[in-house]
Amino acid sequence: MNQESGNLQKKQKSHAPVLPQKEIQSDFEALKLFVPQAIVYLARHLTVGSYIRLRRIALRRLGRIYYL
Amino acid sequence: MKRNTDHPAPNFLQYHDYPVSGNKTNGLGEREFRRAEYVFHSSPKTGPLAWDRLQRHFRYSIPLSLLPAVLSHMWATFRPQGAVAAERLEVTDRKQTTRMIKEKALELGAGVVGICELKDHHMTKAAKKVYKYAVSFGLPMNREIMLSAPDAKSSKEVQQVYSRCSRLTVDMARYIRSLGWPALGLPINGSSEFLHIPIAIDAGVGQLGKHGSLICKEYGSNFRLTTMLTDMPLEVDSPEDIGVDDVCLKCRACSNVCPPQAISDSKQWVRGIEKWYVDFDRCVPYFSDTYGCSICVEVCPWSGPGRGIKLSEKALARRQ
Repeated sequence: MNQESGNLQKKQKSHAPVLPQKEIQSDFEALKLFVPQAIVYLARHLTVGSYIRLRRIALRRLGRIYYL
Repeated sequence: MKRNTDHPAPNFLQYHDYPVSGNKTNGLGEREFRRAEYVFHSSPKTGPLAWDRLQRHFRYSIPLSLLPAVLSHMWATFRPQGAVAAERLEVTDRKQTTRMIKEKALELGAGVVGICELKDHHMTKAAKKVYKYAVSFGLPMNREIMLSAPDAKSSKEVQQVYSRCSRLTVDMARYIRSLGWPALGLPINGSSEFLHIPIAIDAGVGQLGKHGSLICKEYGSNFRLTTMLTDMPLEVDSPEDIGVDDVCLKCRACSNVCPPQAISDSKQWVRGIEKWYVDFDRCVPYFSDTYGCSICVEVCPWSGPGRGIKLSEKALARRQ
Protein backbone atom coordinates (compact mmCIF):
# COMPACT_ATOMS: atom_id res chain seq x y z
CA MET A 1 0.00 0.00 0.00
CA ASN A 2 2.40 2.64 1.14
CA GLN A 3 6.14 2.21 0.73
CA GLU A 4 7.04 5.09 3.03
CA SER A 5 5.41 3.59 6.06
CA GLY A 6 6.99 0.26 5.15
CA ASN A 7 10.36 1.84 5.85
CA LEU A 8 9.25 2.73 9.36
CA GLN A 9 8.90 -0.91 10.29
CA LYS A 10 12.46 -1.32 11.51
CA LYS A 11 12.64 1.95 13.42
CA GLN A 12 9.46 1.88 15.44
CA LYS A 13 8.76 -0.59 18.17
CA SER A 14 5.39 -2.23 18.22
CA HIS A 15 3.75 -4.91 20.29
CA ALA A 16 1.41 -5.84 17.48
CA PRO A 17 2.43 -8.15 14.62
CA VAL A 18 4.21 -6.11 11.97
CA LEU A 19 2.17 -6.48 8.81
CA PRO A 20 4.05 -5.63 5.64
CA GLN A 21 2.90 -2.44 3.97
CA LYS A 22 3.16 -3.98 0.53
CA GLU A 23 0.86 -6.83 -0.30
CA ILE A 24 2.09 -10.35 0.34
CA GLN A 25 2.34 -12.24 -2.96
CA SER A 26 2.68 -15.88 -1.94
CA ASP A 27 2.20 -18.27 0.97
CA PHE A 28 5.97 -18.73 1.15
CA GLU A 29 6.49 -14.98 1.51
CA ALA A 30 3.80 -14.89 4.18
CA LEU A 31 5.52 -17.70 6.07
CA LYS A 32 8.89 -15.93 5.86
CA LEU A 33 7.34 -12.85 7.50
CA PHE A 34 5.22 -14.74 9.98
CA VAL A 35 7.73 -17.19 11.49
CA PRO A 36 10.23 -14.62 12.93
CA GLN A 37 7.37 -12.62 14.42
CA ALA A 38 5.72 -15.68 15.89
CA ILE A 39 9.06 -16.58 17.53
CA VAL A 40 9.44 -13.04 18.95
CA TYR A 41 5.88 -13.14 20.21
CA LEU A 42 6.36 -16.54 21.86
CA ALA A 43 9.61 -15.39 23.49
CA ARG A 44 7.97 -12.23 24.84
CA HIS A 45 4.91 -14.15 25.97
CA LEU A 46 7.08 -16.56 27.93
CA THR A 47 9.39 -13.91 29.45
CA VAL A 48 7.56 -10.57 29.78
CA GLY A 49 4.22 -12.39 29.93
CA SER A 50 5.31 -14.80 32.69
CA TYR A 51 6.60 -11.87 34.75
CA ILE A 52 3.27 -10.04 34.32
CA ARG A 53 1.20 -13.14 35.10
CA LEU A 54 3.17 -14.01 38.25
CA ARG A 55 3.17 -10.42 39.47
CA ARG A 56 -0.55 -10.20 38.87
CA ILE A 57 -1.29 -13.38 40.83
CA ALA A 58 0.91 -12.23 43.74
CA LEU A 59 -0.60 -8.72 43.90
CA ARG A 60 -4.15 -10.02 43.65
CA ARG A 61 -3.54 -12.42 46.54
CA LEU A 62 -2.05 -9.62 48.61
CA GLY A 63 -5.04 -7.43 47.76
CA ARG A 64 -2.83 -4.75 46.26
CA ILE A 65 -3.04 -2.69 43.07
CA TYR A 66 -1.04 -3.58 39.96
CA TYR A 67 0.68 -0.37 38.86
CA LEU A 68 1.94 -0.26 35.28
CA MET B 1 -25.83 -21.94 30.40
CA LYS B 2 -25.98 -19.16 32.97
CA ARG B 3 -24.12 -15.90 32.56
CA ASN B 4 -20.96 -15.46 34.61
CA THR B 5 -21.62 -12.87 37.33
CA ASP B 6 -18.39 -13.35 39.25
CA HIS B 7 -16.40 -10.47 37.75
CA PRO B 8 -12.89 -9.44 38.86
CA ALA B 9 -12.86 -6.22 40.89
CA PRO B 10 -12.21 -2.98 38.99
CA ASN B 11 -9.23 -0.67 39.60
CA PHE B 12 -6.76 -3.54 40.11
CA LEU B 13 -4.73 -2.43 37.11
CA GLN B 14 -3.68 1.22 37.22
CA TYR B 15 -1.08 3.60 35.93
CA HIS B 16 1.31 5.31 38.37
CA ASP B 17 1.69 8.22 35.98
CA TYR B 18 -1.52 8.28 33.94
CA PRO B 19 -0.81 8.88 30.23
CA VAL B 20 -2.81 11.37 28.20
CA SER B 21 -6.56 10.77 28.48
CA GLY B 22 -7.85 8.44 25.78
CA ASN B 23 -11.12 10.39 25.90
CA LYS B 24 -9.27 13.51 24.81
CA THR B 25 -7.57 11.67 21.94
CA ASN B 26 -10.96 10.26 20.94
CA GLY B 27 -12.43 13.78 20.86
CA LEU B 28 -14.94 13.52 23.71
CA GLY B 29 -16.86 16.78 24.05
CA GLU B 30 -15.72 18.09 20.65
CA ARG B 31 -18.52 19.48 18.49
CA GLU B 32 -16.46 19.89 15.33
CA PHE B 33 -15.91 16.95 13.03
CA ARG B 34 -12.39 15.58 12.72
CA ARG B 35 -11.06 12.18 11.81
CA ALA B 36 -10.21 9.66 14.54
CA GLU B 37 -6.69 9.29 15.91
CA TYR B 38 -4.95 6.19 17.18
CA VAL B 39 -5.05 5.73 20.93
CA PHE B 40 -4.50 2.03 21.69
CA HIS B 41 -3.06 -0.94 19.74
CA SER B 42 0.06 0.63 18.29
CA SER B 43 1.53 -0.56 15.00
CA PRO B 44 4.60 0.44 12.98
CA LYS B 45 2.35 2.92 11.22
CA THR B 46 1.13 4.57 14.41
CA GLY B 47 4.48 4.51 16.19
CA PRO B 48 4.53 4.13 19.98
CA LEU B 49 1.32 5.39 21.59
CA ALA B 50 0.68 6.84 25.02
CA TRP B 51 -1.08 3.69 26.26
CA ASP B 52 1.62 1.25 25.04
CA ARG B 53 2.44 -0.10 28.50
CA LEU B 54 -1.15 -1.21 28.88
CA GLN B 55 -1.12 -2.72 25.41
CA ARG B 56 2.02 -4.70 26.29
CA HIS B 57 0.27 -5.95 29.43
CA PHE B 58 -2.81 -6.98 27.41
CA ARG B 59 -0.82 -8.64 24.65
CA TYR B 60 1.56 -10.74 26.70
CA SER B 61 -0.37 -11.51 29.88
CA ILE B 62 -3.01 -13.73 28.29
CA PRO B 63 -3.06 -17.31 29.61
CA LEU B 64 -0.82 -19.91 27.95
CA SER B 65 -3.91 -21.87 26.88
CA LEU B 66 -4.76 -19.02 24.51
CA LEU B 67 -1.45 -19.14 22.64
CA PRO B 68 -2.56 -21.44 19.78
CA ALA B 69 -5.61 -19.23 19.11
CA VAL B 70 -3.48 -16.07 19.15
CA LEU B 71 -0.89 -17.55 16.80
CA SER B 72 -3.58 -18.85 14.46
CA HIS B 73 -5.13 -15.38 14.39
CA MET B 74 -1.71 -13.83 13.75
CA TRP B 75 -1.14 -16.21 10.80
CA ALA B 76 -4.55 -15.30 9.36
CA THR B 77 -3.43 -11.66 9.13
CA PHE B 78 -0.42 -12.60 6.98
CA ARG B 79 -2.27 -14.37 4.17
CA PRO B 80 -1.62 -13.16 0.63
CA GLN B 81 -4.40 -11.12 -0.95
CA GLY B 82 -3.78 -12.54 -4.45
CA ALA B 83 -3.21 -10.87 -7.80
CA VAL B 84 -5.79 -8.80 -9.68
CA ALA B 85 -6.83 -10.85 -12.71
CA ALA B 86 -5.98 -9.35 -16.09
CA GLU B 87 -9.44 -10.05 -17.43
CA ARG B 88 -12.13 -7.97 -15.75
CA LEU B 89 -15.73 -9.02 -15.17
CA GLU B 90 -17.76 -6.13 -16.58
CA VAL B 91 -20.52 -5.05 -14.20
CA THR B 92 -23.67 -4.48 -16.24
CA ASP B 93 -26.19 -5.17 -13.48
CA ARG B 94 -25.06 -3.81 -10.12
CA LYS B 95 -27.91 -5.45 -8.26
CA GLN B 96 -27.01 -8.88 -9.53
CA THR B 97 -23.27 -8.38 -8.88
CA THR B 98 -23.99 -7.17 -5.35
CA ARG B 99 -26.18 -10.20 -4.71
CA MET B 100 -23.39 -12.44 -5.99
CA ILE B 101 -20.81 -10.80 -3.67
CA LYS B 102 -23.11 -11.03 -0.65
CA GLU B 103 -23.91 -14.67 -1.36
CA LYS B 104 -20.20 -15.43 -1.61
CA ALA B 105 -19.57 -13.73 1.76
CA LEU B 106 -22.36 -15.72 3.42
CA GLU B 107 -20.95 -18.90 1.88
CA LEU B 108 -17.52 -18.06 3.35
CA GLY B 109 -18.92 -17.70 6.85
CA ALA B 110 -20.28 -14.17 7.22
CA GLY B 111 -23.48 -13.82 9.24
CA VAL B 112 -24.41 -10.34 8.01
CA VAL B 113 -23.10 -8.28 5.07
CA GLY B 114 -23.58 -4.63 4.13
CA ILE B 115 -22.07 -2.23 1.60
CA CYS B 116 -21.49 1.52 1.69
CA GLU B 117 -19.41 4.15 -0.03
CA LEU B 118 -16.17 4.90 1.81
CA LYS B 119 -16.44 8.32 3.48
CA ASP B 120 -14.26 10.64 5.50
CA HIS B 121 -15.62 9.61 8.90
CA HIS B 122 -14.78 5.96 8.13
CA MET B 123 -11.06 6.68 8.22
CA THR B 124 -8.40 7.66 10.73
CA LYS B 125 -6.37 10.82 10.26
CA ALA B 126 -3.53 9.00 8.47
CA ALA B 127 -5.66 6.99 6.04
CA LYS B 128 -5.97 7.70 2.34
CA LYS B 129 -9.12 7.09 0.36
CA VAL B 130 -7.86 4.70 -2.30
CA TYR B 131 -11.01 2.60 -2.71
CA LYS B 132 -14.58 3.66 -3.41
CA TYR B 133 -16.64 1.06 -1.55
CA ALA B 134 -16.42 -0.65 1.82
CA VAL B 135 -18.04 -4.03 2.45
CA SER B 136 -18.78 -4.78 6.09
CA PHE B 137 -19.04 -8.35 7.39
CA GLY B 138 -20.35 -9.49 10.78
CA LEU B 139 -19.39 -12.91 12.14
CA PRO B 140 -21.33 -14.36 15.09
CA MET B 141 -19.66 -15.66 18.24
CA ASN B 142 -20.72 -18.75 20.16
CA ARG B 143 -23.27 -17.41 22.65
CA GLU B 144 -22.88 -20.30 25.10
CA ILE B 145 -19.14 -19.74 25.40
CA MET B 146 -19.42 -15.95 25.51
CA LEU B 147 -21.81 -16.09 28.46
CA SER B 148 -18.83 -17.03 30.65
CA ALA B 149 -17.08 -13.70 29.84
CA PRO B 150 -14.76 -12.40 31.11
CA ASP B 151 -12.58 -15.50 31.19
CA ALA B 152 -10.01 -17.38 29.12
CA LYS B 153 -12.66 -19.41 27.27
CA SER B 154 -14.55 -16.36 26.00
CA SER B 155 -11.28 -14.65 25.15
CA LYS B 156 -10.29 -17.69 23.08
CA GLU B 157 -13.63 -17.57 21.27
CA VAL B 158 -13.04 -13.88 20.44
CA GLN B 159 -9.58 -14.70 19.07
CA GLN B 160 -11.01 -17.52 16.98
CA VAL B 161 -13.79 -15.35 15.56
CA TYR B 162 -11.29 -12.58 14.75
CA SER B 163 -9.16 -15.20 13.03
CA ARG B 164 -12.20 -16.19 10.92
CA CYS B 165 -12.85 -12.47 10.26
CA SER B 166 -9.30 -12.05 8.93
CA ARG B 167 -9.61 -15.12 6.71
CA LEU B 168 -13.02 -14.02 5.41
CA THR B 169 -11.97 -10.50 4.45
CA VAL B 170 -8.80 -11.75 2.70
CA ASP B 171 -10.72 -14.53 0.92
CA MET B 172 -13.34 -12.03 -0.25
CA ALA B 173 -10.62 -9.69 -1.51
CA ARG B 174 -9.03 -12.65 -3.33
CA TYR B 175 -12.36 -13.48 -4.93
CA ILE B 176 -12.97 -9.92 -6.15
CA ARG B 177 -9.40 -9.67 -7.40
CA SER B 178 -9.94 -12.89 -9.34
CA LEU B 179 -12.79 -11.07 -11.09
CA GLY B 180 -10.36 -8.35 -12.20
CA TRP B 181 -11.30 -5.62 -9.69
CA PRO B 182 -8.96 -4.16 -7.05
CA ALA B 183 -9.86 -5.09 -3.47
CA LEU B 184 -8.17 -5.05 -0.12
CA GLY B 185 -9.07 -7.26 2.81
CA LEU B 186 -8.45 -5.70 6.22
CA PRO B 187 -7.33 -8.46 8.57
CA ILE B 188 -7.95 -7.73 12.24
CA ASN B 189 -4.57 -6.68 13.54
CA GLY B 190 -4.42 -3.96 16.19
CA SER B 191 -5.57 -0.57 14.96
CA SER B 192 -6.97 -0.41 11.47
CA GLU B 193 -6.82 2.76 9.36
CA PHE B 194 -10.49 2.16 8.56
CA LEU B 195 -13.10 2.20 11.31
CA HIS B 196 -15.16 -0.97 11.23
CA ILE B 197 -18.12 0.34 13.30
CA PRO B 198 -18.91 3.57 11.37
CA ILE B 199 -18.59 1.59 8.12
CA ALA B 200 -20.95 -1.12 9.40
CA ILE B 201 -23.51 1.49 10.51
CA ASP B 202 -23.53 3.18 7.09
CA ALA B 203 -23.65 -0.23 5.42
CA GLY B 204 -26.88 -1.01 7.28
CA VAL B 205 -25.42 -3.87 9.32
CA GLY B 206 -26.69 -2.42 12.60
CA GLN B 207 -26.78 0.53 14.98
CA LEU B 208 -24.45 1.74 17.71
CA GLY B 209 -25.52 0.62 21.18
CA LYS B 210 -25.05 2.26 24.55
CA HIS B 211 -22.10 -0.05 25.23
CA GLY B 212 -20.19 1.36 22.24
CA SER B 213 -20.53 -1.82 20.17
CA LEU B 214 -22.69 -2.43 17.16
CA ILE B 215 -26.11 -4.05 17.57
CA CYS B 216 -27.73 -5.96 14.73
CA LYS B 217 -31.11 -7.67 14.60
CA GLU B 218 -29.67 -11.11 13.91
CA TYR B 219 -27.04 -11.40 16.67
CA GLY B 220 -27.47 -8.38 18.94
CA SER B 221 -23.90 -7.53 19.95
CA ASN B 222 -22.71 -11.11 19.99
CA PHE B 223 -20.67 -10.78 16.81
CA ARG B 224 -17.43 -9.26 15.49
CA LEU B 225 -16.83 -7.06 12.48
CA THR B 226 -14.40 -6.92 9.62
CA THR B 227 -14.22 -4.85 6.44
CA MET B 228 -13.07 -5.17 2.85
CA LEU B 229 -12.43 -2.28 0.46
CA THR B 230 -12.99 -2.45 -3.27
CA ASP B 231 -13.54 -0.46 -6.45
CA MET B 232 -15.96 -2.96 -7.94
CA PRO B 233 -19.21 -1.07 -8.69
CA LEU B 234 -21.73 -2.29 -6.13
CA GLU B 235 -25.17 -1.28 -4.96
CA VAL B 236 -24.88 0.39 -1.56
CA ASP B 237 -27.13 -0.29 1.43
CA SER B 238 -28.58 2.47 3.62
CA PRO B 239 -28.24 2.76 7.39
CA GLU B 240 -31.12 0.95 9.05
CA ASP B 241 -33.02 2.15 12.10
CA ILE B 242 -33.92 -0.98 14.07
CA GLY B 243 -34.91 0.92 17.22
CA VAL B 244 -31.66 0.54 19.18
CA ASP B 245 -31.82 4.09 20.57
CA ASP B 246 -35.39 3.57 21.82
CA VAL B 247 -34.29 0.51 23.79
CA CYS B 248 -30.89 1.84 24.96
CA LEU B 249 -32.40 5.07 26.35
CA LYS B 250 -34.52 3.03 28.80
CA CYS B 251 -32.36 -0.06 29.34
CA ARG B 252 -29.50 -0.03 31.87
CA ALA B 253 -28.39 -3.65 31.57
CA CYS B 254 -24.84 -2.80 30.46
CA SER B 255 -24.31 0.44 32.38
CA ASN B 256 -25.43 -1.14 35.66
CA VAL B 257 -23.21 -4.18 35.34
CA CYS B 258 -20.03 -2.60 33.91
CA PRO B 259 -17.45 -3.10 36.72
CA PRO B 260 -15.41 0.08 36.02
CA GLN B 261 -18.64 2.08 35.34
CA ALA B 262 -17.44 3.17 31.94
CA ILE B 263 -20.83 3.23 30.22
CA SER B 264 -22.83 6.45 30.24
CA ASP B 265 -26.64 6.55 30.18
CA SER B 266 -26.74 9.49 27.80
CA LYS B 267 -25.27 10.25 24.39
CA GLN B 268 -22.23 12.50 24.18
CA TRP B 269 -20.54 14.67 21.57
CA VAL B 270 -17.55 12.92 20.03
CA ARG B 271 -15.69 14.58 17.13
CA GLY B 272 -18.80 16.40 15.91
CA ILE B 273 -21.28 13.54 16.29
CA GLU B 274 -23.66 13.02 19.20
CA LYS B 275 -23.51 9.32 20.01
CA TRP B 276 -23.13 6.63 22.65
CA TYR B 277 -19.63 6.69 24.05
CA VAL B 278 -17.74 4.46 26.48
CA ASP B 279 -15.22 6.13 28.82
CA PHE B 280 -11.90 4.95 27.41
CA ASP B 281 -9.84 5.67 30.54
CA ARG B 282 -12.11 3.51 32.70
CA CYS B 283 -12.88 0.75 30.19
CA VAL B 284 -9.48 -0.11 28.73
CA PRO B 285 -7.55 -0.94 31.94
CA TYR B 286 -10.33 -3.35 32.95
CA PHE B 287 -10.57 -4.66 29.39
CA SER B 288 -6.83 -5.39 29.45
CA ASP B 289 -6.95 -6.96 32.90
CA THR B 290 -9.70 -9.40 31.89
CA TYR B 291 -8.35 -10.46 28.46
CA GLY B 292 -11.03 -8.51 26.57
CA CYS B 293 -13.91 -8.23 29.10
CA SER B 294 -17.06 -8.45 26.82
CA ILE B 295 -19.46 -8.28 29.81
CA CYS B 296 -21.47 -5.42 28.28
CA VAL B 297 -22.05 -7.11 24.93
CA GLU B 298 -23.24 -10.31 26.59
CA VAL B 299 -25.67 -8.72 29.08
CA CYS B 300 -27.18 -6.68 26.26
CA PRO B 301 -30.81 -7.80 25.79
CA TRP B 302 -30.33 -7.71 22.02
CA SER B 303 -27.67 -10.46 22.25
CA GLY B 304 -30.08 -13.20 23.39
CA PRO B 305 -30.78 -15.73 20.63
CA GLY B 306 -33.79 -14.57 18.57
CA ARG B 307 -34.35 -11.51 20.78
CA GLY B 308 -33.13 -8.87 18.33
CA ILE B 309 -35.95 -9.19 15.79
CA LYS B 310 -38.63 -9.10 18.51
CA LEU B 311 -37.04 -6.14 20.32
CA SER B 312 -36.77 -4.24 17.05
CA GLU B 313 -40.41 -4.90 16.14
CA LYS B 314 -41.57 -3.81 19.61
CA ALA B 315 -39.45 -0.65 19.65
CA LEU B 316 -40.60 0.42 16.19
CA ALA B 317 -44.25 -0.38 16.97
CA ARG B 318 -44.13 1.80 20.10
CA ARG B 319 -43.25 4.83 17.98
CA GLN B 320 -46.53 4.68 16.09
